[in-house]
Amino acid sequence: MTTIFSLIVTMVPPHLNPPPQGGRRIERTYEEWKRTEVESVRSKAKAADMAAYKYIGKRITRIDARPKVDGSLKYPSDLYVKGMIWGRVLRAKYPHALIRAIDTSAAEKLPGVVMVLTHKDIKGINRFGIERQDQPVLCEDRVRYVGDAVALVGAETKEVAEKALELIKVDYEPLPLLIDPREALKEDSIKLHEKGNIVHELHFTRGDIGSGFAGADVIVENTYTMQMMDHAFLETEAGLASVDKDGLLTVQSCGQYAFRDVTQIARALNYPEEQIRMIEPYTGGAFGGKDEITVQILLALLALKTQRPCKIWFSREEHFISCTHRHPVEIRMKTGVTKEGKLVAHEVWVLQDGGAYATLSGPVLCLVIEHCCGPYLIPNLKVDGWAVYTNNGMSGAFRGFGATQAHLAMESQMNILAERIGMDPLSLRAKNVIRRGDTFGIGEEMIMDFGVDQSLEKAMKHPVWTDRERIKREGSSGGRGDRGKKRGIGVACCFQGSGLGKGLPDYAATTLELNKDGTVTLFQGTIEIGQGSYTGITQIAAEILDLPPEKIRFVGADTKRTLDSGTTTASRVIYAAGQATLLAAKNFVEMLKGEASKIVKSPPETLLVEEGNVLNRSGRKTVSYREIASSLKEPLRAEGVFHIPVADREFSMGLPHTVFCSNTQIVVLDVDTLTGEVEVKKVIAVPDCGTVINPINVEGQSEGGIVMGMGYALYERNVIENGYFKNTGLSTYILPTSWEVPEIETCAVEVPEETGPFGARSVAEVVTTPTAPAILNALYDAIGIRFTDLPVTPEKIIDALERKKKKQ
Amino acid sequence: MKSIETYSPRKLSEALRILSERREGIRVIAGATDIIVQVLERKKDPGALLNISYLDELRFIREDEGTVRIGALTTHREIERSPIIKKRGKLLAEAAFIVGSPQIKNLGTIAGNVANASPVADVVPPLMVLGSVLTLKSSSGERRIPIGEFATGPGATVMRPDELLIEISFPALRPDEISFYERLGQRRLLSISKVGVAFRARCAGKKLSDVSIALGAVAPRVITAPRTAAFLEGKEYSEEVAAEAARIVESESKAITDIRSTESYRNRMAGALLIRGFARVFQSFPG
Repeated sequence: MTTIFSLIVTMVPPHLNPPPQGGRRIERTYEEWKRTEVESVRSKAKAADMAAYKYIGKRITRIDARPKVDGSLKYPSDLYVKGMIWGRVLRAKYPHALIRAIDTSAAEKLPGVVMVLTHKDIKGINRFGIERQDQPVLCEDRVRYVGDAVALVGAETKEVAEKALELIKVDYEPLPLLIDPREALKEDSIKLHEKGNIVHELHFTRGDIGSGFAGADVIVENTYTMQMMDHAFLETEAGLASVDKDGLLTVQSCGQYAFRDVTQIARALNYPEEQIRMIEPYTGGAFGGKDEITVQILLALLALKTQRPCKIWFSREEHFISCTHRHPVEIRMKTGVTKEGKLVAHEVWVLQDGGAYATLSGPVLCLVIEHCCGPYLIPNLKVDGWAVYTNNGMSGAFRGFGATQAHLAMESQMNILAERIGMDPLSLRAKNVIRRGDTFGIGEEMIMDFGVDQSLEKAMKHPVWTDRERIKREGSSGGRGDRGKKRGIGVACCFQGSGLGKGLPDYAATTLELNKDGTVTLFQGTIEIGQGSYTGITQIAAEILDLPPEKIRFVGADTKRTLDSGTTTASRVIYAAGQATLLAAKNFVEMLKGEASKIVKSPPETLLVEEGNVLNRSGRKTVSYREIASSLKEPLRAEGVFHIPVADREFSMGLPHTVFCSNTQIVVLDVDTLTGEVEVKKVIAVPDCGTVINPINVEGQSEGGIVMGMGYALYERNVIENGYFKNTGLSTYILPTSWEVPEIETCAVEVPEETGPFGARSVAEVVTTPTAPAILNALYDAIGIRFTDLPVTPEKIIDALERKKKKQ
Repeated sequence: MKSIETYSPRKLSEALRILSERREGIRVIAGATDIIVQVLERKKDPGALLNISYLDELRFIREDEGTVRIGALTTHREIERSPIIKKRGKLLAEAAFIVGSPQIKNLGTIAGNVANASPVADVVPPLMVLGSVLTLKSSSGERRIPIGEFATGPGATVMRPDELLIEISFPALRPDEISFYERLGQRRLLSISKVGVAFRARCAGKKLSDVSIALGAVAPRVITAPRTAAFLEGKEYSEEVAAEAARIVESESKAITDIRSTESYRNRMAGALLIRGFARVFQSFPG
């Protein structure tokens, strides 16, 4: 029996479908796709055919490389205009308190202060939140975490704005804190929100858990705890807003979904959506941390009130305390396996600390649940999960989105089970993998090709794995006895869905336009957050149009110029926006042929495109794109819209997914048993991201993901005591640096995704997920100690070694 | 930008005159790597600043008659790369390498690091075991004090408001002396030390004498480890001797738990780093 407590779905999709902007449009749902396109993609995407491509799979230099290096590309924090004012936010003094009164009079009198705004100045609902709107733009009568915004100052300079913050008097009445998520579950706990402290809960059963465990030869039970983690992107949240004389509000800012930002601004401030233009093509890193609203509504509010251009740029400290983080989670897992290595039963209990507001806590919990079995078949399952409110900062979207936490626990379990039944850890995984057609997890179906078996197989054949005993021996020397260095080799695997999952509108759209000079402009509403997707998308268009990438002009997220193409999250951009671009380009080529046929006087079906020209098959009659452009009275425009396939059955909002990427990593590390220091020496990554559109981008994602995973496992932690953040700078929040980066080898397997552009899937999140559990498994291999609490600092290692020594 | 009253004299005498006139109301800066951060984070109003970075007469490293003299304005980068320091105060070069980032090392000065009197300053334990002497100068005179008597607590020193730290000197290491500086941070570089151990001794064969040990980040100021030094005096190095010395130094370490580490780890690591340093030195030692 399956019980489902469904989410209160208040997610407001900005548009059910991107409205046409003119030109011809091709739109594909999965059903249409299956009928018309699948076979050709499948056959063409075979590795042997890759040589036939001109731009796909090639190491094309990123289209934004040069302007980013020479500084001509402007990030949101680089934007300044004449006459602009600075906005600064007064944050809460207490992690939980009532606001009795706010007195802004002294601040308003300070020379240089333009305006001081509070909740009273807001006409709309004064709330935001992607999933439900429970977070105030400016707090009214209560603050729930130290990052809560209480007042907003606009001033001629940043310094005056800061000074003004000190002059705002807020009369608080501190309230008792709710800082223990277990406490939040109790009936009699302090309630942070009207409806209680539970953001979301999920309970599923599948099969018969009791008889499942009864049939197990080995049962392993453990509790894993994971810390709060910061995205630590290079550019802290920033933007610039202005209002023109017709009342059009333009906000240029960081973000991950310009169209939803428009909706959130309009709703919070009660300002008409059509009068808002968001421009946010380039963001200096996000990793999910800019998915939720950060500066956008504050910028809009200040610009509308002052009618002056205004800039807001969070300090690093402000970023740390006010923005979302990776959820601290406690996961209890009890897993049963037969001595032949068949997983038979799995019981999972999840408690996720979401902090003060909902943001994406519910959907993150869904993904913890979706991935709690790893990419393995387990017939008997029971899962119970809760996401709760506390006064501990705020947590939301972060690369991996719950799958990271789920796999940390599950991939540890897999190694423990493998050891207990005396099986190679990769063989145990390979024995239980999900394949196409299988029913897995909470009852989902794998309807697409899934490459985890091939990823595991390639990892098993890698020389670092086959030769691991020798590599381990070589590294374990140095001093005498337990004073020396111990080498360990660990492995972990993972999978993750591409796209938002069932129940949420999930489409992408691209527009192409022919320019007078024969070049093509590509309009795409997703965001370049550093991942390189604008380059990958350009390559896809270049391949179909047979036009060099430098002849394609890219126009990124701008709600008045580009179509809504969905979020830049959830490992979906190259897959969905790439496919929309492929459709637009095919459409565009048809239109070009149609126009060319009038000039060369041959039927369109006899024509083909080559190097920016349309020619007939004999190659004798040629007309260039430029000639076509000059023959036209109206610009040639083509649109392509792609709908991500969805499963038939919905379990909860965003659950389940249909298209899955996977990744296996092998980690080699040394533990200094004298000091507890860990040095990661080498990481092998075998992602399956479908067809690789650009190997440089896949390697870049993989390397960055691995270093991020190392930070999660070994270094990073937001320390919160009684609701206050203790490390709010990059000198105390410890990230791995170039000195910690190991040798990394990324060797992708390319299992084509039939609905993806040229067979591409995606790569953004699976690259980071296996690293932390692989490190835990390697630590166990090195020193025989199983760590279940992140991050594993030298302090913890020394303590554990000491305890182990005392036991012996 | 906030404007701060700043004096930038070109001569030492002028700087000393300003100091004697202004006394408490002025703060000395050289590389300014600490104060800039504090001002930007609005944690400190520095009042007026005396910028001594133009006093080129304080920028030198030289060796005369067995004494190494380092001018106040010498940067960590200069120390790290100096052939004199590498030969005559090697462990100081090791410590200077560890400090901050390349940018910090290019600006931050040794006198600034010492005068800040931070218990975690990486250059101080090496300077202690080298037997460094600080030259404090004012318009009314000059005095020289051993570095061990300089800091009285975090950020507190015996320096008078009218004094400037102008030179740090120590007896050059001789060929029969061994030394090392070992430290642990939250990551390899770009991190503040959790614990640091500086060691210097004369060594004949493997026999140690004139032993000096200093510990960073395990007390409100950099401290020495006299009982450990006394234990090692006259002993021949062996792994067993090192292990015993480690046990003693752990008891001399007086660490606390904070955001960077724990009391027990720090104390234990004072011993571990002694063992690690010995192992490193004796691996390549000709005896």
